[in-house]
Amino acid sequence: MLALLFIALPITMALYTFLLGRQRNLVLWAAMVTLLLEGYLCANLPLGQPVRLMGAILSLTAVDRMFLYVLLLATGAILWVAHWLHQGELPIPIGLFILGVSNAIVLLDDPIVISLLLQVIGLAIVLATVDRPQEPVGLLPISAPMAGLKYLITMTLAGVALLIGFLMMGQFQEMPQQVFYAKLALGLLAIGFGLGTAVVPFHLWFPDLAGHTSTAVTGLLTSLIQVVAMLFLGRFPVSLARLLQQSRWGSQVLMGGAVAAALLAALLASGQDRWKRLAAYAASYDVAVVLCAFSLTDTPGLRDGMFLAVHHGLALALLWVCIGVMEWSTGRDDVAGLVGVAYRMPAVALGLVVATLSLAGIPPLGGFVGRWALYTQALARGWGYLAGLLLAALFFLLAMVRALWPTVLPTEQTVPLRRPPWQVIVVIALLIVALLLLGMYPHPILKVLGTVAVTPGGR
Amino acid sequence: MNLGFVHLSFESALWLGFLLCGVLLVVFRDWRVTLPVLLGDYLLLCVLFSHLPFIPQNLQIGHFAVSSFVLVKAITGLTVVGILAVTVALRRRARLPESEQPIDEITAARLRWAARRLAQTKPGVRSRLSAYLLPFSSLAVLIAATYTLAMLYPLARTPILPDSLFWFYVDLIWYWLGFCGLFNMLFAQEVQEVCVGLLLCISSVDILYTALSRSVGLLSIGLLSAVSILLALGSAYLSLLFYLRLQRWQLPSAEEWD
Repeated sequence: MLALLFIALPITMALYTFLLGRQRNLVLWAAMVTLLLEGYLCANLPLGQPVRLMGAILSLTAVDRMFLYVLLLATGAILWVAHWLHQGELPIPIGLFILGVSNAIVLLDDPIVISLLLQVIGLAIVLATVDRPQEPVGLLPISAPMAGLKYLITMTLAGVALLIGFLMMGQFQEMPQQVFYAKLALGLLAIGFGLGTAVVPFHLWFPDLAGHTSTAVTGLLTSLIQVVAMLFLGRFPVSLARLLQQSRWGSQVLMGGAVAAALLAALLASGQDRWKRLAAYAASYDVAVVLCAFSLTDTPGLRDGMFLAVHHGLALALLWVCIGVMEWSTGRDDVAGLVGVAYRMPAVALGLVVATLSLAGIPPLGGFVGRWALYTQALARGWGYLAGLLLAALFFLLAMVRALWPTVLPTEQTVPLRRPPWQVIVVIALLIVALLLLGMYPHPILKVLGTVAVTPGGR
Repeated sequence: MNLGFVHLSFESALWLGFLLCGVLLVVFRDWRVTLPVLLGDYLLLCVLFSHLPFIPQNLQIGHFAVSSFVLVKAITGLTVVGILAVTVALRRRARLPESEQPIDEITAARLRWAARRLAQTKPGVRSRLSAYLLPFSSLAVLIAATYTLAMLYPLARTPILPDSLFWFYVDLIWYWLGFCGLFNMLFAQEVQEVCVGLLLCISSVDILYTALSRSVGLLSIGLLSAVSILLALGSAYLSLLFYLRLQRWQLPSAEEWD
């Protein structure tokens, strides 16, 4: 009953906040109370006691609970900022809906149902890409609905690929002598996850969408949907390892592909002249690094992947929040136009620097802990993997420094800007502290992740 | 099935029905054709599902015993086609809010002039026929590819299932729907046509999933329906946005050009 309430509460409140519409303060408080109640319910959900609901089994582990807290924190930060930056009426209802479905994904066990749920949240976000009640449609660039359409097509095809992939995986488990099923499943799962999480070369929809929609929507995409998708992938290491065993070069191709994807995303990031597109490539780069950890298909790799997924949720939330504030204050997000802005918004500039350093894996931030372990294991598999990952981190850092540099240039004339609200600065400070804690005191999270292992009996 | 001198088995009649619907959806772009055909496709899907051996007929409606699973599929089809039909109807009445000023006179005049010039170059009979040539020729390739794939890679016809021609047709149908969906998207000129293509892809996966899972999971059925409905809603939203944006330019949509 508690599990059902945990899933249904945000979905019901999504409908309620949608109906409230322009009662902005009421909507905000309803959302915040929902998140607090969700936190309370999450703390009280019993561990390891499966419940059957409509033929599906809901169960909670310590790792699942940790991810639920991360999702709650990221959602709270993004929705709170969306309210204060006036980012439209739709982010809060859609965010709550996505949170409810994400909770179901975390608690559920069936890969087919989970891939369908991922498709549902992926499609739900289309409704928020253009905030119809807020934005004047007549002034909308035609590329905005085009980006929405591209996203709609990609999410549907990603869902279809995942569904057939998991069906083929099931067929292979029933008939292990039919290697064809294993190869087909591996290919379709790689395409499905690649399209859904915007890994290079399946990323084309993401920078376009990020360029045309609010940072709240893209924040929800990266900090909720991508994190849940990565947790989902990390749930089936044994099945993934079995699939990889059927292909002679499967493991090398998957890991090499992930390294190449990270490298390409970092290179593409260095060519961007708008912050929103740059952040989209940053997300793509980070997802590729997480996939690289999962492609090791052993216990340390799985733990690294999970840790990096937690970090992804927090670091990308900080990055999108800072870009959102910068855009709200100056009315633009082009790199060249924001000369000297850092002096007038030091907290935002600090947030951008912290997110950048953490995503590049610089100590003492959260990204370092996960990446250090990954680098050690990559070296054990071959120096080529390590060289690729290090090169990707270097290119990514250069791309971000290139974008950050104009903001710290001393200049007397700078763009006119609005002072960011203190409520948003508090959120930025909170996320900075979270990333610092993740890097300097990761033991509680590592302890929880210590319960995860790639065992034949595991999921 | 006995049609005078033509004798058709149930499976081949069903396959011909899907074939006809697919051809109509790929070749025609007018919503007056595509939406009823899409509904027909969903009805054929219901007929196919009602003949699957593991789907129980657990509901009695009047004299007919039907399956709740099939009923859910029928309702989903009706809802999806209903959403798309309402979108078409709404699109004609939708207007930009009065607070949104029209574009300035000079730009408006330029756009009208460009639109008139384009409208004057009306295609002749030959070019109108050639517009159908590509869809027709690709349909021939499509049918050949469907047959080849269904024979070489029978995913629904697994060794566990009894050897029957029915499962070969199931393979044919799901491959066919998937291909038609992809082609519909490739030839699409309006958001609604893209949506029809995506819905066909989902129907294709629906058949494969039901055939392979060999059971009826309540949650999965509900979610597959939810995905179709959300897809229709999302495309309706984007379709209206495109239409309103064209309205500001005072330009007709692709449908009105025709």
